[in-house]
Amino acid sequence: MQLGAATGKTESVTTPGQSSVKIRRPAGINWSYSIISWLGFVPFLLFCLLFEILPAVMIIQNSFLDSNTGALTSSNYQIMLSHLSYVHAFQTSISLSVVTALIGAFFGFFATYGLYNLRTGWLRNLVISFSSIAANFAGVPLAFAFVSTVGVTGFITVLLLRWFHIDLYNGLNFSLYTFWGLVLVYTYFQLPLMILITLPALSALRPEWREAATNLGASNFIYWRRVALPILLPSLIAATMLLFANSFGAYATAYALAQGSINIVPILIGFVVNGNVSLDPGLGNALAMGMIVVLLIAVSLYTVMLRRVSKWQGR
Amino acid sequence: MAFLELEHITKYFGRTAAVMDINLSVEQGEFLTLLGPSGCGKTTILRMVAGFETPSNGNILLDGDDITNRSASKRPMGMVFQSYALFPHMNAEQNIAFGLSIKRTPKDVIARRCAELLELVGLGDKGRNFPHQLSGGQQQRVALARALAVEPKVLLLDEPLSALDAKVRVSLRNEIRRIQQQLKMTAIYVTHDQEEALAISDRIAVMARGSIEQLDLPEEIYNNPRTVFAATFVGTSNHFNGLLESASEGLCQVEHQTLHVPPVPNLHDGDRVLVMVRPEEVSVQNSEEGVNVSANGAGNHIAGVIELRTFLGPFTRFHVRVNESTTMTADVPSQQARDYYVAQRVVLSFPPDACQVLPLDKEAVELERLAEAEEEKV
Amino acid sequence: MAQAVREINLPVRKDRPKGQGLGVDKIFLTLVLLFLIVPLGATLIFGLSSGNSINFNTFQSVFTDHDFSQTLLLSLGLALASTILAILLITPTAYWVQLRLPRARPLMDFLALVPFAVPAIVMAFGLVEVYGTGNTLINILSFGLVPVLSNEPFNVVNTPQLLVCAYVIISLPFVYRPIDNNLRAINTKVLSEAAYSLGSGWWRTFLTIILPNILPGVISAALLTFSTVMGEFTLASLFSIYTFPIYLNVTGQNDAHKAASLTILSFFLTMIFVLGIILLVRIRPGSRGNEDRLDIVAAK
Repeated sequence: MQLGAATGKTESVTTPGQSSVKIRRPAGINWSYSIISWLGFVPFLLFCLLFEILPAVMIIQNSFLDSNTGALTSSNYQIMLSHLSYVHAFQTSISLSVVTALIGAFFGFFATYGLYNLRTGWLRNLVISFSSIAANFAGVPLAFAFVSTVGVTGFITVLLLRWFHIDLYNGLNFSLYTFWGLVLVYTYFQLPLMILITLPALSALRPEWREAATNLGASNFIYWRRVALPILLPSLIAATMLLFANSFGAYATAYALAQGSINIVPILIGFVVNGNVSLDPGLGNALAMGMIVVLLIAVSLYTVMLRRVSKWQGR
Repeated sequence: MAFLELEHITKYFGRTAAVMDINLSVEQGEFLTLLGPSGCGKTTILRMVAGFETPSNGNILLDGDDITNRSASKRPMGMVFQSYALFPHMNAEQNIAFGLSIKRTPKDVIARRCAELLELVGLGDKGRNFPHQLSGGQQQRVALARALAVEPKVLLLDEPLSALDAKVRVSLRNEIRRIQQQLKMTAIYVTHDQEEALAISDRIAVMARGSIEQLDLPEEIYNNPRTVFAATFVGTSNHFNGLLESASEGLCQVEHQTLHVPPVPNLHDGDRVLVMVRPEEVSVQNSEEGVNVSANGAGNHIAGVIELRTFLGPFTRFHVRVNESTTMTADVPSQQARDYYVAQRVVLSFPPDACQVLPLDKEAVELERLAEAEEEKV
Repeated sequence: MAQAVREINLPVRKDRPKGQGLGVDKIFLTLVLLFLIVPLGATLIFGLSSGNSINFNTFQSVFTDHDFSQTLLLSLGLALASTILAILLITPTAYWVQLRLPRARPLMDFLALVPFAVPAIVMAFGLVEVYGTGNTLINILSFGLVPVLSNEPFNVVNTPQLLVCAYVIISLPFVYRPIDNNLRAINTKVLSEAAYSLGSGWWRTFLTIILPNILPGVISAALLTFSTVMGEFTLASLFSIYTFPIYLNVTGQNDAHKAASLTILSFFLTMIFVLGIILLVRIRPGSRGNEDRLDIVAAK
């Protein structure tokens, strides 16, 4: 834009040497404003530092130190990766989390869709409220709820035996206190969690997309395959990641159920904290570090997917 | 038999009739606009034509075919939505190609068609962009291209410009019109913006409360509105409620003054009427100067005081208070308007045939209020 | 026990698409609901029966147990302390960040995600190490505060005080989220600027203008924290502090029926909290037409 070309003197705010039209605060005031702004943030930052950051730093640091000599070493990791039982613990933890995440995601998604299509408003709200409670109902009480249900003397176990002559424990070789028992119990809070996360994602599916697709000739199937599911995919992946992280870090439920007879990483770390002599603290740090790494991957993927969702929604 | 026929279309939602006994004929290649305030049923009609709603009663015929009960995906219509409704996970090109890919069109044909359409809507280089990378106007143009890609017989547009900025709205509406004419496409356009409707339509159906008030050319609707609602909803107007003194001579009693209006043979003496005059027909003169009486002597002259002066660019709008309860609006070319200022005493003049006389019954009064409420929303 | 935050929208949709289901969805929904309800029913019956008959003996024995009241009170106290501390710390900070320090927002989001990557079990481990064993790097990084806290006169390791602080961190994600959402919903910046232009200072604006408008968000956050702490097991167990969930576990290992009745009690407690939050979200001012955001905790 040619300012002042024809009329000579103009009211342009550009002055020689400066191309900015903005009014700037004198540099000094800028600085102190900035400092005070950050100062207000300090109490919170300090709190996080003391109780959130430093423990993580400590773990990272100690995992590279020998617990007896204090010397820098990678032996903790070497032991962790070579001993079968520790590798096994990670495998079990990861597969437990993957399995429950996938079961939760699969059944949860369809259940959510059914919920989404529910016409009766009060019933929908009832189910949502119930899901919120169920997702929150985990840990020790949940473990005992399942013991009461399908434990050795559980209500269903006894029912099946007395009425249908099905022996759960001896005949079908089922046990609540094994990997698959844990899967069953974990699924109890994974499912409602999936429902609660996926419901808003489904609501974000705008009806106009469906109408536009239909108008352009798409059948129900094509709409789902080419429009709805691709749009939902990032949300679903994020949800699965969240389910995974949820399951991977769980301690209380497993502990209450199996008292440590199940070999998963959180239980192992629990042993170390409790001072169980068979486990070296340095190793405990390595295990914790391993957990952090796995979870960081899951959480990163979760964040990336959510960012894509908000990008597409134009937010 | 017109290209698109709506016969006795009625739609109930629960117990309310959104649309009542609508009969509409749309010619091929015509640009018809459904114009009215929100809730008048215009969008419902559009959605019934598209197939998203089923009429409670009546038939829809396209080129002789009864499509009333045909599913939406099988109708040869293209729809443009108010919120664009572009698929966010596909770029512009993929959005446009969607309808074609469903029909299993060969890839090279699709590519060629997409390129053509992008050029047509002026987005030749934006094919790879995703919706969130495009502005509102650009998104709507992609949406238009997407609807045109499947070569529909009728193009349906549901308030496509409402979500856009004022300037974009004006340029895009002209583009839509240009493309429609170029392709000789039949189009049904829904809007509540009467300026938009007047600018680009071949015919306008003014709607209120589920029925069509007037279906006519834009000029006719503007100059000769046939109902009170059409008169007050479209364009700005001065309107007075009055009593028809003499239908044959064209005399009307309005607030202690007699107005000369054109003879209205279809009304009776003593009828309650609405007299309407467009602001651009009202001329302003200084009251000290002699008042210019028109050749045959029978003009309308009303004295008043200028209350408000609004400069609108090419013309200036004066709000003139003529008595305690009434102000009149006069639009004067800005060159002439220079001589007039606020608080000046003036005389407003308008010829008899600038007046439109419409019968005023109870329903008309309600509709008049409805039209005024729409104005106040702005 | 580590916690995780979920956000849900309670959809209040204007138009529902008709009959476009995939068919199986209702079946799945029914199956899932059955799966969720049956264990609760079974637990109730199990808890009511001791041996072969149905009676309220187990419930009676629960209420007469001394440990029951003691641990319950301790848990309540911890929950209260954690909630108050969390709200006092995070609410002004959230407001401050929203208003004066938008640059810190990514940092806030990061800090709110850390509890996901560092779940309760790992955090417990880390805290015991930081405050139990000395370490020069840590001492330096913490500006000398850690050694101060680890030794006399504070001696925080394995104390309820440290537990409370840990609980605040764990609750961070779902205290921050509802309050932040609420702040955004009421257009905080504009309101504050209007208040300042009329002469109100920072604190006055916060207390009289902002806080009343974000009250539902604050109370939601408080209820979430409270219920989380009431059910938290991992940290309490590893710090050897005898809270209610610990009592529940100990009881359960010995007497399954008693544990069942306690479980039912736990469930009702959870139910009250969650329903409270849901009710609050509904009455929140400035919530957009078809979106009600609700944050829910999942405890493991």
